[in-house]
Parts: sequence; structure tokens; C-alpha cells
Amino acid sequence: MPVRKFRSVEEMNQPVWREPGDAALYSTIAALWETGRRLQKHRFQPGVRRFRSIDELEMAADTPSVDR
Amino acid sequence: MSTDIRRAVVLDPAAAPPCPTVGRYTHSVDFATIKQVLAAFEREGVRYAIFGAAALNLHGLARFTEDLDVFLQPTEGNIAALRRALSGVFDDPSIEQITAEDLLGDYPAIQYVPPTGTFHLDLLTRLGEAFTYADLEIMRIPFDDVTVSVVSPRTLYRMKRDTVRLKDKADAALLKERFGIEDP
Repeated sequence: MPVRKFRSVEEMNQPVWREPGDAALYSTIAALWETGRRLQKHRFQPGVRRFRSIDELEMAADTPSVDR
Repeated sequence: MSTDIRRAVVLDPAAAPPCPTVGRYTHSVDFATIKQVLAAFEREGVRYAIFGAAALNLHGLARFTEDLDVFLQPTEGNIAALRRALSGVFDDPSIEQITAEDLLGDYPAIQYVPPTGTFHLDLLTRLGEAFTYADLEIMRIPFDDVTVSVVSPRTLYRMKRDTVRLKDKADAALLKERFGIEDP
């Protein structure tokens, strides 16, 4: 389907759900992750880190430590 | 298709073998690597459940993520199986630092970044006071050609609904609508 038409921007931005097991889901995930990886400006410091809570872990995850 | 990435990851990323493909897309390194990690979990009998953004992807909504969130059954044997699985994928001695003593004790959250540094595995044995492994509804669903354990849409909704992050609240709303989830 090369052309799709929408009556509003809101309609255009609706999330596209696919069924688990649908090959299109995995090709979309792969393409999206590849794009994201190429756009990443940082790397994470390799290794193991311990946290006392998920909140501590999420704070650390939001601050990548190595520039690419 | 099986691709041994251990040497490529540690020694020379440029020497990595060609990525597997689905349709006309080339799988990203992380897609293939994460799939290998999960296949290793399955081989080693790790008791786990994927949650977070990766779970949202596997339930049908493609979304970029830099991490793989994994809830683990909190037993010494399971943490040993986890280490075996990770060591089968990554030639990385730091994996030995992932211990049951920590995960069953004062550190229920461990982050492991493989040598590539491009994503992280967040390993949890409990989530605040709200969730333990026993509280999770777990489903078996496909991740390409591997079948993996993922929290159900309802559990994922409950996890995301009560967090402070706006993107999690937005995800919760999407899950609620898609799966017809009722609040208690």
C-alpha cells in the first residue's frame, strides 16, 4: 500500500499494533532498533552494576557514560 | 540460523559475521544479540519473564529500546543458569559478578552491559514492594523464531500504570485500549 490517506494528524499518528508471530512485527522491530542504534550518540560502560532498587537503576540508565 | 558472536564482540566488531535477515531488513546487531541471549536462557532453563519496552515490542507494538528488562525467579540455581546462559553468548568474565547473594539480598536490580556497550540487560528479582516473580502473569510468545517468556499485557499494564514516567503512562494507556484491560 504505497499511499495512505488520513483525515487528521491524530489519525496518522495512531500506533500500529501487529500480532505476535507476524513476520512484519519482527522486521519492523529490527529496522527500528537498527535505526535507533545508528542514531545513538553514546555507549554504555560495559560491565556489571548493582542497585538497591529499580529507581536507582533507572536513574543510572538515563545517564550513559561513554560518548561514541 | 546460529551466529557465534562471542569472538566478534570481544575482539573486533568489524569481523562480525553477516547479520541474519528477515524479509528485506537486515537485523541489527542488538536484535540478533538479544535473540541469542533469550535463546540461551531457553537452552539453560532460566526462569525469567521479559517486561518493559521489549515486552511491549513482543506484544505487537514496535518501539526502540536500549535495554532488555528481565524479571528472574529468585533462586540460586536460577541465577547460576542465568550466568551460564550469558557466558554462552558473551566471552566476558564480568558475568561472574552477577551473583545470587546480591540478587537475593540487598541488590535486587543488576545492570549488565555487554562488551559492545550498545544496550543493557536490567536483571530484577523484585520490583519495589509491588511485584515479585510470583506475582507475574507470564505468557509464552514468539520472538521471531524463538519462543520466550513475557509478562502478560495485563501485568505489563499494572507495572507501567503506577510509575511516574510519562512514557510509561502513555504505554499503559495504549495497552489498556489494545487489550481491553479493566482497572480493578
